[in-house]
Amino acid sequence: MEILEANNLDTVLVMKEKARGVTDEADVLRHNFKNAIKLYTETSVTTEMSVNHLLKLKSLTKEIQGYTNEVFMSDFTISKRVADNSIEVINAINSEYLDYLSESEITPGVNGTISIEWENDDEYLILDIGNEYATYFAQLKDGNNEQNAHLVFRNKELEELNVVLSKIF
Amino acid sequence: MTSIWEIKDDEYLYRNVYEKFHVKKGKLHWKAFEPPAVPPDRLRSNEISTLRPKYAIEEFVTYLGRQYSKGRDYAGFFRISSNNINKRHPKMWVDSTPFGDVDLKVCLCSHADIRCDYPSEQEKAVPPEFLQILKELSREAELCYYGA
Repeated sequence: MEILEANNLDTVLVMKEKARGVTDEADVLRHNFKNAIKLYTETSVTTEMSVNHLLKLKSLTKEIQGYTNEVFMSDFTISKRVADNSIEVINAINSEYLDYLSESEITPGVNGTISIEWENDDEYLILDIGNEYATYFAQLKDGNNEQNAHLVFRNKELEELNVVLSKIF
Repeated sequence: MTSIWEIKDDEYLYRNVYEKFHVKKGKLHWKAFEPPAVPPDRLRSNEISTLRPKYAIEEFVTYLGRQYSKGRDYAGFFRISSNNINKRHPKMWVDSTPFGDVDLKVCLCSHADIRCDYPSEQEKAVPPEFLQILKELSREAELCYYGA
């Protein structure tokens, strides 16, 4: 399994600065997502460049470095496979729902997953993306909830995320 | 007489949190309850270290918090009652886990773990029921000392 480090927050900040005319945090995120996806799809998925670009995008999530092992990992890594899966998910989600995301809603899991959270008052959807499947839990109005313990990365299956998000927003 | 190792349901637990990881828009993030990864294999552990304010003054809690991160991004600590943990799920409970120093011949009762017994395989997504639990806990916990 190929493991690459994501450790360059400065690059991410530069990316943000280059997002001309885009001042809203959610717009910046969407802008960067689109750029990453574009680059990712225009270049070979096996090239280090595209993977690194994605991982830099991922590091929008957090600046992860330098703490003690008790509290954090000192050098967070994410596999290409989880990165690929994250791209699949982002591609499948309607852009209107990406608008609701900010950087703090995309976070790396301690064991190499990536999680995304949408929240609207008491309603929320938490998505955790792993190497073989994703899981999610959605708290909806009136105490109803929806969940999936094995969401595979195919467009047809991922479409259910849009359906759930449409109930939240 | 109650043993010092016994943690009653109404006892509070403290855990230090850090701005970039555990706090989102001034509120506690559910990741604050995710067990940390443990070297060398960095698999997610099944425990979250906490301090018992019954035996650890707040200054000691914040001192340790700043020590861990060398002062960087320290955001304070959250507090939550042990009952909130124990009632949540059969696979989640509070455990009295004293730590000691053999050389100093001391054993501290101020430490406790929140056990979170779900699968921790590398790159495996968190089961949905635990996503819910961690989120609910983050909403019930009180963020203390924040911004100080």
